[in-house]
Amino acid sequence: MATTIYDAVIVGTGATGGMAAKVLAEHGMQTLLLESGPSISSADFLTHSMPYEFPFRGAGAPSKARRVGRPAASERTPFVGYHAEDDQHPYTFPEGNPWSWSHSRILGGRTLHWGRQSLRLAEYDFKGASIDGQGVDWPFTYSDLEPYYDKAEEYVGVQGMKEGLPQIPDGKFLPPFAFNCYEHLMKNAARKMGWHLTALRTAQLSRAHRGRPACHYCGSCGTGCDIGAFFSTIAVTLPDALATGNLKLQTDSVVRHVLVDKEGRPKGVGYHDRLTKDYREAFAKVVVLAGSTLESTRIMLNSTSPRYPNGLANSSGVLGHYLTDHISVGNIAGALPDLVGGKILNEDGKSNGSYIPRFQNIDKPHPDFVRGYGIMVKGGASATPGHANSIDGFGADYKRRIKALHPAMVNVYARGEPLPVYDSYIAIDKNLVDHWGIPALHIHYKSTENDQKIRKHAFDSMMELMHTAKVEILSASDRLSTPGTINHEMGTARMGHDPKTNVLNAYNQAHDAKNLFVVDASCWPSSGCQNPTLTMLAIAWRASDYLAEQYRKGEL
Amino acid sequence: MTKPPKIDRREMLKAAAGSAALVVLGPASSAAPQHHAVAAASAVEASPWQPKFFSAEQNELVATLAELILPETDTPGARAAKVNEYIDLVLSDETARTQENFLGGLAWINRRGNELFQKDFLALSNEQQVAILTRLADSKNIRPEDKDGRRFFLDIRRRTVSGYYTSKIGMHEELEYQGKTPLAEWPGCPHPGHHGSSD
Repeated sequence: MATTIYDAVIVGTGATGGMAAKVLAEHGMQTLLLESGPSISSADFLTHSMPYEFPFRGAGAPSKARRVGRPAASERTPFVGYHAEDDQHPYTFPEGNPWSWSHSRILGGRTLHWGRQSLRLAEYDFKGASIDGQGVDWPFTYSDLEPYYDKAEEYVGVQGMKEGLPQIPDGKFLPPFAFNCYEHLMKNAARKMGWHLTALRTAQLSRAHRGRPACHYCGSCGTGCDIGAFFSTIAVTLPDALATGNLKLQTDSVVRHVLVDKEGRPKGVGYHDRLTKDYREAFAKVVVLAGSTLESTRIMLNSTSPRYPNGLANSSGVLGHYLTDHISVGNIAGALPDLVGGKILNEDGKSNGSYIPRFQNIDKPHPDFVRGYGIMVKGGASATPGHANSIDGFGADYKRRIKALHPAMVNVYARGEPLPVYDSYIAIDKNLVDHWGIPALHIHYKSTENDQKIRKHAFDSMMELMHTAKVEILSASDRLSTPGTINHEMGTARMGHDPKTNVLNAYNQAHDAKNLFVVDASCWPSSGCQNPTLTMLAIAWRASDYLAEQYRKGEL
Repeated sequence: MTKPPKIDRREMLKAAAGSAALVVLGPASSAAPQHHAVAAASAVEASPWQPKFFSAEQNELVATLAELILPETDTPGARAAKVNEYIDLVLSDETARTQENFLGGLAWINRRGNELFQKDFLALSNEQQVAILTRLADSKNIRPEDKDGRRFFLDIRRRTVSGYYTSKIGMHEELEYQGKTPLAEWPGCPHPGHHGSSD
């Protein structure tokens, strides 16, 4: 039987893998798309389920949570890999320096339940080093990426307000969702502080768009959208890719490593059947890694050969280094006095809140720290009263106070930009393998002094904002969340012009191997403080266009 | 249990239609899940609820404490919402250490009842029961001898809050939750007074 050699094989079906599949297939390339987890369709989702429909009220059995982790134990998303199970996907970190890895191993990856926040990076985010001397600039500028931001927003559908702010450049938006009551009040408070509050821009349809229906405001995005009203691979990119007839999708294929020929040139991937663990190989002229930052880099580190003894395309020695995840400070929660005791409205339906974009280091440098943070503002009556555990008491008064506070709650937290350092790295743990026998990761994250200064500044700013809004504060944490928690891993195969200090070039092509592309967030040289997915989609689209053009010219 | 358990057949059917219930019922159920669900619901109705973890007395103590924490007001309280059944189920699946801590807390409550009023907690008057919990409820004013009790109070209160506000009674009757309602447009805040200068 003749072996099929595809034009391209793509590893991973999350945001960037789905985008690469769409673009390459539409360019006419015969493409194999591999997903480590099982298939899923939006018809499987229990989108409108209520907690009381499940024995453990949706949270899952404690014994299961201990085995697979709390997210994977959820009864409302009872799908293998919707949240990767801890017992099948082990990893290590230094004692006392934890990393919290939440990822997905299922068709669509984290796009099935992502936060949907879709902010552009600012012009200054691409040239941080030129401005403050820290880290490195990106190998391209905002204007290079701008056409792809336009295309990505128009394609996935992003609701939002145009603001004319340089921190979050405006784009092609659908009409914004209206503000809830708390957002009006917090906007007024932000204005008094000299800051700007805008509706969080989300890849969630406020109008029917490109054959997809508008959001119906059920507020259950984390459970998966049964109508495809927010962007996901299975609702948007995958159907388009499959419609070309050029894409073969293969789920349950856990990639172990990239295969190389005698000269060290990539020629395909080796993978295990998820269920039987049998090892198989697939061949292609171009290999595209889109398995998420940590998984793509892990595959490269596990792809050793005489030419690449330290991992594929790692002649620079920086593969695995400069790992970041956004800094998160808070939460601070409390009640807006104007809303205490008010009528309880349906406020969690739009499933998102507002955003105060970065206001530090914009016009003049801050004396204490570089870069900065934005503030997320959320609140209103939600499904369950999280504040009940933050107030004193019991009995009828306690019950009445929980209810009175319910419509008045507001909470804020900051998302900041970490500085990538060489000492933040991932490496193969030689003593640990996963469920399929694939060597697992050791994750060594190093927080910087600048992170701590941002933490303090962000906490103080948020407290000032809450006081200005006259919020009765019920709980306030000034700690940084455990690295990894924010789910925005970036930077372990960074891009840059110099092959001596970077893994990828400006088009996500490996400096060492021209037919290897890494299109996920591992390419980020710095991380901004904005949620990354929109930028990831734009970069993956741009890289895939370049790949297809080079392939057509016979350059790969 | 003092009140007979009541199973909402409609909810059972609704849950059974989802894939979570199908897993529980096994592969044979996929052909005719509704019939299996009806059979399952009847079977549950036939036998009264039994605690998996608590003794009958511990169960009654938990139901009483939960009702003291979130009592019947103009809406039903924790007992009507069967919070004790939820706490029993969760604890039955917890680690031995968590189970021991909780049972130790129940024992502490009885011990304190005897120290202050010479009776087990369930035998006390409502006022006496409230008096014991009041000593545990104010975060700024805890006596040294109440430290263990305070830890247990927060534990059972957290479990009661979880169970009550994820029940039908807690979500819909008490907190008037209206989510999961399909809407054509997002209405936003209906109070112009809150809009201030932001429009």
